[in-house]
Amino acid sequence: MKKFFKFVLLLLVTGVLFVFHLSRTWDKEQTNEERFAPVLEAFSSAYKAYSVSSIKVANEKTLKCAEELYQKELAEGKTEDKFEGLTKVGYYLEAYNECDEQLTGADRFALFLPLFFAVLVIIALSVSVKYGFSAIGRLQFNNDATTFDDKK
Amino acid sequence: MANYRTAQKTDFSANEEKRFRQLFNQWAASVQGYDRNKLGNALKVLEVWDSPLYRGVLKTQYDNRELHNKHARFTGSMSVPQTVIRESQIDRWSLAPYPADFTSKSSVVVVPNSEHITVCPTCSGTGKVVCPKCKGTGKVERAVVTKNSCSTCGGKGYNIEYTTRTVSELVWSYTEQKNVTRYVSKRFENKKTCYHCQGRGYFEHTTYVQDPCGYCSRTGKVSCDTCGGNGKVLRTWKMHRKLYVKENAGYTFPTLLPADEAMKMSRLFDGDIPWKMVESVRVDKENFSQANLGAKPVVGDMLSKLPGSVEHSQNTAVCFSDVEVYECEARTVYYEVDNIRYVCMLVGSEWKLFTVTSPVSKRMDDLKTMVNNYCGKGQYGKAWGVLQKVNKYPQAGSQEAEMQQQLEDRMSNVTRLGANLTVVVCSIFLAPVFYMFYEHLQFFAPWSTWMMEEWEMPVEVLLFMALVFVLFFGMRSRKAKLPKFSYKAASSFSRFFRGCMVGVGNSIYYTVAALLLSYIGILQLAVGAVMLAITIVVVVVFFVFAFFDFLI
Repeated sequence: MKKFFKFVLLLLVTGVLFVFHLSRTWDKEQTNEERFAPVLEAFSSAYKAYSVSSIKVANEKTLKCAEELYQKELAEGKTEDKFEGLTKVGYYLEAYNECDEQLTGADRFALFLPLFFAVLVIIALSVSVKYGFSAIGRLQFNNDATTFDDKK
Repeated sequence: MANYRTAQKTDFSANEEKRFRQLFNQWAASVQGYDRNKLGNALKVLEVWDSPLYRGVLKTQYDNRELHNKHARFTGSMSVPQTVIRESQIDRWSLAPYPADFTSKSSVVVVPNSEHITVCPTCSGTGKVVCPKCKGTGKVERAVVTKNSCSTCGGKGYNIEYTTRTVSELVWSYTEQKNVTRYVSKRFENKKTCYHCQGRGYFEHTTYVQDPCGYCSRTGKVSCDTCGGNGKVLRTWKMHRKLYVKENAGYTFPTLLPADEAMKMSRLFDGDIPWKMVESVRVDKENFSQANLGAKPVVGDMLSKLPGSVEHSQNTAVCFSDVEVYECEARTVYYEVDNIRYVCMLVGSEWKLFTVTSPVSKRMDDLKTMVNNYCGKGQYGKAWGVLQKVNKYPQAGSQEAEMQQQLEDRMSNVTRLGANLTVVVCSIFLAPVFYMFYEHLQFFAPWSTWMMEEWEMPVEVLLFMALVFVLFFGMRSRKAKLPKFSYKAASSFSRFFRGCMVGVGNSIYYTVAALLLSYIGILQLAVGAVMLAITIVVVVVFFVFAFFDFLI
């Protein structure tokens, strides 16, 4: 019960802050449709990112941008390294942060997902192994089925 | 000679049988967890025996006598006969007679003719001892503190520093007929705390002087407190005597009862049993053989064991003992339920019921066997379900309660597995929710937005931190934190499912908490701290490698 009341209080506080935040940031002249449409669109595109094709598309866009950045720096003489190994990784990260025109928010989210899923799989496996092993072992009891407690 | 009775077969009258069945129904209804309330109506009376109970009590009077040699101040010159000086000269057992009745008290007896004068042990007969104040020197040290004025500041605590500065001031110019700015040198006084005396103005100096000791008048010795200064004390032998009584009891149960169950019965007796004294035998000192206790019929075996409980310790004698035998009327009833034979006792004229063996205890034994069988097969959920029923019985003890605890700990593991895996799965669906709040709705307080801009914190890092928060706190479900309904179920599938519900609840709870924390900026601070820690570790590792590289 205690946790339930805490949750209700938390929800109330967050709700009030959220309403206050919206009233502060949203344009008063906009209609509700104009306000909620982009949010819902962003929400659904975030869930659409949960697909291999979305991750592949985002990956290709980032690689392309990274290559463009590399070519530009090569032309300017800022680098002499080949586009492979750690150099490639460095340009990939730079492209992730800077290529705002090519990469949308959904693309960035899609690129974040593989790492996130890897962490989740590791956690899920370790939890299952931990509780799985504890469920296998036999319990040892010091109990005689015919013993009465002498005090009763 | 008392009349000790063995068990005699008898029978219930119609009223007695009715009364017995009613009593049994009441008892069965009072047993928690047992569902046959009308057990008295269902049983079949097989045999009834008139089998009185006997209780033997050994009450012993003890006399403890210890000798002590005490001294006191002696004044005057009285002539004291000295005949008893050493402990070996004293026969303590002849100094006072044994009590005739049971008594508990303490007293002190002076040993006659044991008073004698000796040299005072404290001052060895001199009458004087070393003065405790001056330790025999005749002088005591006293500290004298003097204050000397600081020579640097003259006792003021500060020194005045003079500085000359050129300052501008407006003065009236008669030639120009207006206020003009002139630059003049002015002298300023500045008080500075004296560094020598730290501002106190003085220094303290402690010297020690020797004063004559007033306690011993410079002699270094004072009068001995033990003997009062005359160097002699009066020694006396005293006997400290303590009289006390101890009791031990034994029981004789009818041979109709199983021996192991009969012994348990005695522990259930409280003060309500109507014992009547049958016989009392006084035994002088420890002459139990003269009383011939073992020869008595029925109770002889029990009475012959009682003297074994008499205690023996140094300086203590057994004065006498009373062996008291009490009787209480009782009936032993054999009855049958579901073709199984049981026995009970009706004690006293009021018929206090003692169920020596009963279907209740048999039912409990059967349940315990079931529990052990389930545990042997590893079916802990089913074992727990049966153990719940066992622990409702009043006969269930601490072992059963402990076993239930262990089973619940094991069962909660399945619930925790369900809860934690659900939190992991829920976090997959929560990631877009966080992303929406952070990337599109920008749900941050103004200072949190400022922090993120200053530190160039990408939204993905904050999103990762929020998910770690939900995973870490949502998965901390120790058994104490789990709601009881989630793991108290016999079926493992049911426990896993309930654990999943707990996991969903935790995920929602900590998601809302994470949104609030990220709004306030606490998550951003945590990200900053983690990044700083990583940076420090990287720098340290880099320097370590560089150092080793340099050495090589």
